[in-house]
Amino acid sequence: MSEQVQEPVVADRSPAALPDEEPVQSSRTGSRWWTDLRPLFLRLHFYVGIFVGPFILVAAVTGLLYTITPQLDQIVYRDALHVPVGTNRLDLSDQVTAATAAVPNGTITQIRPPIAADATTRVTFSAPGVEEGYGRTAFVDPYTGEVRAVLDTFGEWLPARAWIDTLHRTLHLGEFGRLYSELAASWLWVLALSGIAVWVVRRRRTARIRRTLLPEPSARGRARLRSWHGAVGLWISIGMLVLSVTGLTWSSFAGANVSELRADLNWTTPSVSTELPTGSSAAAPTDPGEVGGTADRVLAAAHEAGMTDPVAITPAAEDGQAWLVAQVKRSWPLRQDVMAVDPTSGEVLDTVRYTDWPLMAQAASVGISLHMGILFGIGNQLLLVAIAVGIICIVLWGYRMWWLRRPTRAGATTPSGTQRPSALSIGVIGAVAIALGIFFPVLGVSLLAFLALDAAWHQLRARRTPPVATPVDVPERDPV
Amino acid sequence: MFDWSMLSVVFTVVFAATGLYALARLARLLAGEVAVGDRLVELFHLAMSLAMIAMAWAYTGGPETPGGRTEVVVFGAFTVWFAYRAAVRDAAHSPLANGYHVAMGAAMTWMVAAMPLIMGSSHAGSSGGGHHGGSAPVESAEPVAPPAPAPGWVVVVTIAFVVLSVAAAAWWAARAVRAGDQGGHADAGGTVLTRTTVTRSARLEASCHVLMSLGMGGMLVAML
Repeated sequence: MSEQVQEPVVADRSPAALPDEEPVQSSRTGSRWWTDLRPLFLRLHFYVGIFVGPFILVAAVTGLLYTITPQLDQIVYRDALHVPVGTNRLDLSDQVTAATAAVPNGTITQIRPPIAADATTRVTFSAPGVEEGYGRTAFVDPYTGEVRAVLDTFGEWLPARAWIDTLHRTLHLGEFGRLYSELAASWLWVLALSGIAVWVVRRRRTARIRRTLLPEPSARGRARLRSWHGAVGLWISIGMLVLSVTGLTWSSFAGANVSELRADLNWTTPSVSTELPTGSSAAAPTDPGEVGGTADRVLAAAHEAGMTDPVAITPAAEDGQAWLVAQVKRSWPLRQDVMAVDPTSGEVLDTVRYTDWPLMAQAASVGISLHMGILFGIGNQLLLVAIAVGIICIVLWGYRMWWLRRPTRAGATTPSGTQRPSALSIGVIGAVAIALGIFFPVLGVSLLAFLALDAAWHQLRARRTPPVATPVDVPERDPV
Repeated sequence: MFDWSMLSVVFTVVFAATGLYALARLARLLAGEVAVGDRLVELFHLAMSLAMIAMAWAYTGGPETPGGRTEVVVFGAFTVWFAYRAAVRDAAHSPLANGYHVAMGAAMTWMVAAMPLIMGSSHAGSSGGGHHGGSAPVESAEPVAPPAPAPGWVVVVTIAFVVLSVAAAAWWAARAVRAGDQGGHADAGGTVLTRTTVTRSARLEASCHVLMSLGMGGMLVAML
């Protein structure tokens, strides 16, 4: 018996459908394609929601946790970050010497002067025993030289924030764990767009706009859930799309493709040249006092050239290279100018200003700050809280709807009922899915895995189910 | 992947054709427009076609790369599934057809898993996007090892798969010629199709299998 691809032909008699609402069914030429596509979009939204929902839920919960990290840092690391305001600040050379004494066997990789009158100076080292990707940072009182704390930091993130950041990105499962967040980010935009399509294009006979934008208070059961799922989903859809697109820049596989695409289109962040002029032979200083003194010199040169705080100073990695002074303000308005400074003469050799970045590079940096909740302070954090809570709710409502419409219930049908998309629609969407699957590999492989498992499940079930007599008795034909 | 880029173009054309056919068949099966067909087989054909195109242009590498590992898992799973069907003597599928797909799945898995040995080199994969909390690490390609001659047993196994592929191509070609002798069958609506329609459909299907078999054999030969 050949594999029969059929669905149970049972009319949807559930009370779920609102009496004056139905999917668009029109004989008009313009909406015929939608009549054909809608069942496909609905099934796509349903199946993706069911199988990717848990990953999106985890990402939303851990992301919600991440939104409080700025406040958490201020509470947990108050002593490291803040000092009593003094009268005279010590030279950087003295502060760096103090930091070096607290981190023996370390090599200075970055110096961040205080960002406020009551803030500490951060001196970051690469040191033995530090986890890959992390640095060991000494927090120095700029007035007294006292080392307030020594913490392992992940870039500029303090340990608690770094831990939550890693939880959100990888569930602390290393590179394998990154697959979960890439899976969520790869499919979230598909869910958002398919959901918008099936929710917005529903023929509502009365109060169309209100019933599209707001939940239906008079509905009961599954219809009520669907109205909440659809309305809230619509409101947070832009947020989901932004989170998905920006989140993919962190991913392993799609992220590499994004980087390659940006390079091909010249959308990458420009960098300064660290080459010193011919004849200049600045050796990278090793003495802490020398490092600090050079840092003072290059910082003064950058300030004189117009660079404003907050900044980070990066010593030359090798002999004969310039030092970098870079602005590190990632909140609006972003300040990301970078200068390469000759450590010996203090001459500014090269400058790249944020305003000169390609537009897409600027957009990427803004999007990343937005995703991390640092673009516009507490307002950004509250917006992310709202989106995260919204995502959690719509995922749970989605599962609740599925449970109410589960296949074992009498009268229940699969999504879109007996409607079937045409082969042409499936083929076109399939071709688009292949192209997307190449750019977003985790999406492609997961889609292939789902289709294969679904087909295998049907074949196994067909073997256990007795064949149904057909009206036309024909000889068996080898399907292959 | 190959020194002669024209070869990559040829493989791309061949497997683009088989991939499009598989996609069309799969779409018709999912839409219920044909009653006779196997979704898993069409998925396998589609995945194999895409993987072959990717390999022809070195977008994926051997098992030391994420793409290569994924292919080994995917085609290994397909091979196991077809072997299971052959073992349980699934009445819905002929033993020869099941055996063919087991062989092709095994050949694909072998092709990727043994790529470093067959070609005497490896391809490094990139490790993806950077961390935005601080400075992003700079990604760079790993150096490619100089080619080394393939071990004798690797050559023997590869040639065995080439022989299998060519034999399979001949078998499918014979089926394409004999397709006109087959009877009619019902489409999804229960209507018995005409002999011409059945012949054309069966010949097209057999021809695609000829292409895929020849493509498989050709790719293996080109890798030696």
